[in-house]
Amino acid sequence: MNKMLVETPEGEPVIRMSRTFDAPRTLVWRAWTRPEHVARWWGSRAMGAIKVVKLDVRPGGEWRFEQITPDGTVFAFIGKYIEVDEPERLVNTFALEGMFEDKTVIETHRFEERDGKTHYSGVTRFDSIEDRDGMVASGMEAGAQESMNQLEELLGELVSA
Amino acid sequence: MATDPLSLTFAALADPTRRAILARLAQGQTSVGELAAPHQMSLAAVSKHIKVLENAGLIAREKDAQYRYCKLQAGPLQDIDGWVGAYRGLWRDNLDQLDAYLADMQRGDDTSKQ
Repeated sequence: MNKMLVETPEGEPVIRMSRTFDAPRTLVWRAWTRPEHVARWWGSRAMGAIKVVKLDVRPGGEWRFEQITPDGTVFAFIGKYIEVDEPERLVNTFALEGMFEDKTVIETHRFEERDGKTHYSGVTRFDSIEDRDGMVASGMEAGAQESMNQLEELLGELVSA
Repeated sequence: MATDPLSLTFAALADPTRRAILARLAQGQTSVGELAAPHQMSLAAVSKHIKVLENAGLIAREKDAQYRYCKLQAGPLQDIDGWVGAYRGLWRDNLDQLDAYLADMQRGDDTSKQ
């Protein structure tokens, strides 16, 4: 019942997510914007805790969260804050370092308080619908365009299978 | 032990050599030697990349009579439903974990004091 709702609309390059938290908005904002809190909930738990390397919540400020895989590869989620309107709205870019960095992914997070609960809604905007739906394939740095096309086709088949 | 497909797939895809190997395998199965050929690195280095891809379940190594080859595996890519699925999975986890953490904060657990 208290689950995240997700929408992937047909004609718009966005993903919409929403969820209600049983907590006041100021607390949600604090959990979302302070490194010691972010480290406690952000990222895949199976990978172990993330390291909040940078979290500079102001327009133009950067964020960087690192995760280390079992084989020692560090992969970093990175971005920049575009708009900061405490405690209601936060706009930031989202990227995975070394992958798709030429693509722009913008997240808009909105927090609304109703009866002591916080309704969160997030909108993630991609450069295009193709990017939204095929980012793994389009990020491949293969030599030949042809092999990329084949891979995209294959991924498409796998996804729709 | 990280075994969720999202993390392993992201990690495996995070390297350009590994992405090139996957793209080559999308054209069809081939030997390790052929996979290594376009890269300016030792066979051992390429084998290491292949192992990472194999551990992520993205490729499989098989033997057909005397011929050993690598091929693309469908599983994990299907599981994560491409980029959107991976991204959505990350945020589903994040929001679930935030929900639990907010409850901890409000209970005043020591670990969540600011």
